[in-house]
Amino acid sequence: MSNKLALSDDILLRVEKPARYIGGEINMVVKDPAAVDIRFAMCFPDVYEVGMSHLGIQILYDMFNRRSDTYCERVYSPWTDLDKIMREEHIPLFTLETQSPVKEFDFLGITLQYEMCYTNVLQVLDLSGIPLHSEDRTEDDPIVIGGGPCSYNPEPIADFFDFFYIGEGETAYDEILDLYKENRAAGGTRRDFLRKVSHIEGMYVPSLYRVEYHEDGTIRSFTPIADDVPARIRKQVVRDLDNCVYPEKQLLPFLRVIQDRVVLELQRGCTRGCRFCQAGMIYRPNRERSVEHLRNIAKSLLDTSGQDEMNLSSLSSSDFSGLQELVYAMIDECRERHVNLSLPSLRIDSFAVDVMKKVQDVNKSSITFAPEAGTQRMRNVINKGLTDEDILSGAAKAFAAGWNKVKLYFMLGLPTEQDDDVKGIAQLGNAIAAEYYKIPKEARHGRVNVTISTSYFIAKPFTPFQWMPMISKEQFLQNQRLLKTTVNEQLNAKSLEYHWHDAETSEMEGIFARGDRRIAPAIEEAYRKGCIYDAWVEHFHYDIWKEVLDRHGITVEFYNLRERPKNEILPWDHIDIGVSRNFLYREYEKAQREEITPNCMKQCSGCGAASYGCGICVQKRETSQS
Amino acid sequence: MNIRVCFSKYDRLRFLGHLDVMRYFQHAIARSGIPIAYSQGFHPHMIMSFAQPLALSMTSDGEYFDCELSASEISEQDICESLQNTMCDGFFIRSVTALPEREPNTRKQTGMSQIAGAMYLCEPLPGCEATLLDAITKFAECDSFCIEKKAKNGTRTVDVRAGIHAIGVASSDSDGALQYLVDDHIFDTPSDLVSGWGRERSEHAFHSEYTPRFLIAVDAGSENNISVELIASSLRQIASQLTGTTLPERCMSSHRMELYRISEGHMISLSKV
Repeated sequence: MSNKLALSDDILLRVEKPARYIGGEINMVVKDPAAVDIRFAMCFPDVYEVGMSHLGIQILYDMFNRRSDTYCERVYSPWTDLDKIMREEHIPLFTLETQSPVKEFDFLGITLQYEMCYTNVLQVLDLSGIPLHSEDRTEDDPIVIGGGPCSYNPEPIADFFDFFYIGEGETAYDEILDLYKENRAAGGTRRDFLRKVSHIEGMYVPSLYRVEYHEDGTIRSFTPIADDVPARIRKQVVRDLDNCVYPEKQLLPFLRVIQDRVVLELQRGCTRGCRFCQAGMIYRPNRERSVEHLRNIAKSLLDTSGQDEMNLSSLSSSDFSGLQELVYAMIDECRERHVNLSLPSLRIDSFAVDVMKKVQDVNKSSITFAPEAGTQRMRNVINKGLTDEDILSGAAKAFAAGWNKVKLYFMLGLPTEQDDDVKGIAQLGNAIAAEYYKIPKEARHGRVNVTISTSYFIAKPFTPFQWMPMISKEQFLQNQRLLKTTVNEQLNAKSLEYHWHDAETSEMEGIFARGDRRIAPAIEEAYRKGCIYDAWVEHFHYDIWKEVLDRHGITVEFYNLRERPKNEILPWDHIDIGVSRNFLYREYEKAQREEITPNCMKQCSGCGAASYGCGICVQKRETSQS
Repeated sequence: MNIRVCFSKYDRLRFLGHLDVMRYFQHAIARSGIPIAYSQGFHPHMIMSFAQPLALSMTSDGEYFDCELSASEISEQDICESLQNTMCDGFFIRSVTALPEREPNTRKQTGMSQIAGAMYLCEPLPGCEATLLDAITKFAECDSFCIEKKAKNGTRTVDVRAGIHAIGVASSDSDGALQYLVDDHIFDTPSDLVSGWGRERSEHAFHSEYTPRFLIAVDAGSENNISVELIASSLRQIASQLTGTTLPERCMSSHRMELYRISEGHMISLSKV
């Protein structure tokens, strides 16, 4: 390992947390860059502590580095203090492993986990000295790839990427890297390479498609520029999670990062079908890992990291079929090793209360529910299969076991929301508090504390609500005030606490989420005017964004507040996630009729994900045959 | 069984803060499988005690922590190897020493509370060599040199010179050999210094072999702590009085060679128990 750092001691002593920029962590891969054919820079466009918390990068980092011809290194957004210094002193952005300039690499892969990172993408390109626009790049520049959830509607940032990898990274990268070497050996250009990449399933090369618009701003047509370029890009899916790479050694940061624990991914996808949830649709079909496989991975992760906390990760852990077996086995193993087990997204029932008693400190921890909506009617609209009865009985069990803190998460501005639905949130909070006070006074542990948090519903692509209007910022603030008043009117108001979320970031997130290619120039201009770290409230400049969007004629009316007609071409219609547009539209109609759709485990609703021939879609057929 | 671990910290990890070093060793001990003892309670933690924090950007061959083991039939050598096997580049386990059993009814003596002295090796940054060398010569001649020190509860005056027990300088004139300007003869010299410069150590510490360098042995610990920063500020003040030149705030890079405890008026290495 070379010990030359990209930054001088002087600079490192001037910036906050210099350990963000030095690399050298446990399980970091060391290779000789001169001895490999392909150098891949993997980027999470946010600060180190956020980026290092992401499991996806760990998986890809491990996978790439298993290839002897490839060296994958990491790069994160420099924090604002270093950003300023790098611009002033013309220091190019560098990777952590070899501390070498990103521009020297063959590839720069950027994971897009949330819309508000888009200006950070430009920051990374700009500091690396890579032209922001794909069309301006030369043979000297890395191929810039996008991936992750935001690549399912990549249109607002399509100009900045050479191609997007749609779906799970484990399936096609070998083919891509082999193709790259082949193309280079044959003297092919980057244009040649990109054209060939577009023939690989799941790869979307934006420059090979042309968009035309109607006068009203909606899309008239979206077409490939040539016959050999596929009209639709099909999401990549790992069919068997037990037989795919999983990093048995995870990078262990020196700094305390956001997710300061090893992560065990139980399953991918979710069987619930909540209608607001993008993850629930784009990661279909639901696929589980076997308990045996998970226990082996867990052991190796703990052995090689020495971490004192392990997180069982999943969109909905309670739906994982082997959960009880796994958790009881892990509790014992973890206790022996002095490792804390954390189980987020657990539905509160008897099992959960039993587990929580074993792994948490009753006095310090709280129980969490995400009813998302305050009334049963509203929950039927969003297909959140959680009833008042579930919540109240779950809370009662937890209270009986000694808990007295509850956190509740809701959304405001859901489609069809009425004032009664808003008030229902406060009433549900009150009912939970009342449940606590049913316990005889001498058996209580002080006062109950129910925290209600609300966020602003954002309609996302590939959900049944992709056609739905969002409410305006003004309406959202009004709903917050109504909720605040109603909370104060409750009998148990003193036990209730209400937290709300800022509306301005969400408004912008809505525009990016369902945006089209015409958003890109605005993102670029906002970046030029100094916007970075938009996901960080303290760095988000609503005034700049507002001014830039106005100048580019980008309105909330068009992107957020409008109901989209069924026949409108949506900017992301060329991406095929397996779940069909027809299914999503059926769900959209059912939502309006307040009808629920059963969990995949109970009944198949024919969403289309069965075309991947794996996971829950196949298991069910087996059970129905036997 | 209690043990004392001495380790080096160098290269890029000189930018790792004290809290992160502590976290690193908790993880390393867990990976090594050493039978560490845990505290009682709902959130048990490893029983460890770290010696004096090292300033960011400094390298060191004299870092210490004490910890308690839950077993005693394990050799110092085995512990040392197990730990070394889990180290990443930038950390090196220099020694593991079993601590004597505590006498009944005596206070627990941890590495932290025993510290009385420290030895540093400093290297002027390019451009500051001559000025710093003049300043240190002048400094050695002083009987006392007082400076304002910022503490949590206001500033107080510290006699930096009084806390210094040895100053040795190696320059091109001396062909790299160490010449003592000050020596109270109370510090044990690290054995590899006796035979020259401790090359193995300074490879970790510095980028090149260029001179001059100087060695400085000081009081350290909770009572009278003379930090490298205090020494540097003193030298900058002297330089500006002598020649009117203002040295940059960072005028030298520093390497901690050893930490000491005091025994019968003599400073002996913390690793000698």
